[in-house]
Amino acid sequence: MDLTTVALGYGLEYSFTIHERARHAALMGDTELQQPTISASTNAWAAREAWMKMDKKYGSRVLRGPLWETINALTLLLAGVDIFMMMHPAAIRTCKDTIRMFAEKDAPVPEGVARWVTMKI
Amino acid sequence: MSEREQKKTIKEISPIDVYKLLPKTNCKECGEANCMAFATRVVNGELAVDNCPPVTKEEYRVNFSRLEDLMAPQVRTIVVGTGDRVMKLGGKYVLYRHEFTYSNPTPIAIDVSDDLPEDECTARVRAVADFAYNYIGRELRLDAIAIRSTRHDPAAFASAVTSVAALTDLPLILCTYDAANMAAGLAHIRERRPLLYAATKDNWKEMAELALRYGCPLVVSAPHDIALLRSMVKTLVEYGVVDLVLDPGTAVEPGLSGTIHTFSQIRRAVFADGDELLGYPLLGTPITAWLSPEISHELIQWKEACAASMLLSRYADLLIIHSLEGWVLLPQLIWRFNIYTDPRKPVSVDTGVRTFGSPGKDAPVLITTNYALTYFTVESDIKSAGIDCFLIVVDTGGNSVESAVAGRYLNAESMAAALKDNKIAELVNHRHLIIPGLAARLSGETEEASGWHVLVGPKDSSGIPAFLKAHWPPKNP
Repeated sequence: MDLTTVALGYGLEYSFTIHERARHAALMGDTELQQPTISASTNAWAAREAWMKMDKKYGSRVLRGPLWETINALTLLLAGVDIFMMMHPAAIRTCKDTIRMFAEKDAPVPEGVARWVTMKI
Repeated sequence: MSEREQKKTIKEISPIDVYKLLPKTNCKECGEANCMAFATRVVNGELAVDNCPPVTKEEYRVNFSRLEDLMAPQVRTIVVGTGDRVMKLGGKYVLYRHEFTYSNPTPIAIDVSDDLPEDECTARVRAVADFAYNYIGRELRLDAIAIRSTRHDPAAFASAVTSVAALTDLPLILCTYDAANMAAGLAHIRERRPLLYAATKDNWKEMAELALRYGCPLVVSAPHDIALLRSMVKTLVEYGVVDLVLDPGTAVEPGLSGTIHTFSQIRRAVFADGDELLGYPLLGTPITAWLSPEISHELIQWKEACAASMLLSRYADLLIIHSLEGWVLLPQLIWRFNIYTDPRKPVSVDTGVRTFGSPGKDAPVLITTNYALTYFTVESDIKSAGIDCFLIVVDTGGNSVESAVAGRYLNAESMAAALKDNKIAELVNHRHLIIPGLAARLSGETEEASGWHVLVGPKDSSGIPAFLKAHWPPKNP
């Protein structure tokens, strides 16, 4: 099912909520919604913040754009999307790494995250 | 306790439940037509119980407290800071936004460490306070400063806290596990009501004493250990500290999966199992990405950005981030704004004609949809380019241009009617209408239906200034 993927900043919250609702309904027994979902996260690039040259305080679009697509996809991953159609290699790599991480069972929990308070950066 | 267990969820509370506890005098002091109308808006989350002036009076004390219990969110609301610059954390009524709406958009705090030279510290604080982005008519900003004690020196921490406090009125978070450091920092800013980070299983008693003495909210930290977190909350509440924020630990890589899982588990325990001890705001710390041995700062920033955005979706009520790069922060500010919009309300704007600058009889006439995101984007592009023009906002049922064209909400007839109804022919002495580039295929039909010449504008409104430069005034008037 393609439940539509809207770009971050242009209504991603609709896509997020539609995917969450559809998946909940499927898991609660709605047979019509029990199909895998597909997301065209490439649509993230429709957002001007992804591709436009902006004031330098908003950073280079070389990073801003791929991150835009990544966050678009990761957000929908949290809502249960099963297949992604994507464009930028860095976005694809991050999503693949994240999916692999999320699929690992009983992954070890890192020690010492509390050190962030005193660490030198 | 038994009363608590039967607590109604926000969807189960009816206006009658609220109405029964109101004075029922229909005094209209709240500005509503009657007590029932007030009750309805309270249940919809549009008004708070204390917006009814009479019910806060002594004679209604019992009812007021019952109303407050009735309307209390399952995730408590914790207030940090004072005066105009308070930030509210938590206050959630539901697990998923589509069940009601989320409240209190997750504040984003940026860290400052006490080992920074004074000029760097000043520059960083200024950068946090000044960072802003204008998104569909709203100014999106950062919310707080988290001051970290890295030198194990109370005097150094106190001095950093004092200088940051003097530079900004943003709410502050004091970060140290050492109670002596905390006491030294806190002594100088006691009136600011900062958030104290953090009580652990080792220092909780000293931190609790400080929280009580200075009346400050306190973070309870138990990384990746929900059972410990829960038992510490119980202990602290019994000790008298009630304003708590929970830190379940944030690991970025490896461990992001476990982190998201822990945050979700805690929130589900609150809403599905009614676990009151976990019903507090959650702190996410994507800043832990910087613990990585990775050398490339850009890679760390990238990972911090991904973790932050996932925690915004999955239940963080407060975030502490290190990256101040715009490309990292921009998607966070926009995504936060988006998921905290009320899904019950259509995001549309009023239809009609808007005037920008001081357009004359020869000024361009543009047309767009009443979808809020479309409208505000077009508006901001026209305003920032300082263009004098008329913009017709046509009713497309809150659909964007592309959807409205596809669904026939935007069509030749509706555009012709908008020209006529808004009496555009009286505003200008030409007959040229500029339509959105994404509505290009309607150009012919619209010329026929309206009798106006149609110019097809850019597909993205950021191209309006360049378009007008090239095509206005029109070559064949």
